[in-house]
Amino acid sequence: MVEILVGALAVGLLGGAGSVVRHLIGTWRGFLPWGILVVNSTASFVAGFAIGTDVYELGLIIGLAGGLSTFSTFAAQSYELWVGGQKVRTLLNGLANLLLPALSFLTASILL
Amino acid sequence: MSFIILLAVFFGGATGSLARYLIWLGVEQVGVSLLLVEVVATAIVNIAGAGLLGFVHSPAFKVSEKKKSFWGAGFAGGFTTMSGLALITAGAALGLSELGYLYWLAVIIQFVVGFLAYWFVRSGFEKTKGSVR
Repeated sequence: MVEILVGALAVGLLGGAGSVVRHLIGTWRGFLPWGILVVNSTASFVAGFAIGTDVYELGLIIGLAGGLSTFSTFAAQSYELWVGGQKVRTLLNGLANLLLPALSFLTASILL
Repeated sequence: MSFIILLAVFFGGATGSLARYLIWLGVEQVGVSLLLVEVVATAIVNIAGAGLLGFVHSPAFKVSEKKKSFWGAGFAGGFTTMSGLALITAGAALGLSELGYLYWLAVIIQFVVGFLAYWFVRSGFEKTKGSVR
């Protein structure tokens, strides 16, 4: 029971901290919404680093990486690009958010 | 950006992350493999979370900036995850399943359905608001 509560506390605290960092970086935009792409890729790198490390897995993967990365803001930014007539950028944003986080996860899990 | 807004994002993100964790635990009870559990759990949180953010961004959600930050950047942002999707696609690429390409397909479908969930909820509430006027 204590283990579950400590795990939940770690998920909550690190998830909250990750969300604040995402909120601060996520506003960075240019040709694509770079801020969210960066946090999603960084969070995936953290998750790739932590996988297999029993002690840190819960807090780092579900807490920090989960709170830092986001799908809902990605969907919102893609919507804004699409309704703004930027269809190519919408597709590029989708492709970048599909491939770069996966590549970050792979890099961390193989190298570290 | 004020401290109170960041605090709202923190508590929303903490609550959203905990809710995601509880859903993951629930799916894990019936799941047969790590990748399959991830596919089902991420589909639930990402599609529901994208829909929730669509509502938060619609004119129907008339609340203070603090509450918007709590439910939008905080809760919906912390509830949904992209690193979970990276775990699925990277896991499939590493050969954790013989059906690797199906996991990539599942993630692509999730991208499209999540995007549409945000779109339909947001535009649905924008139309509702318009008809009330």
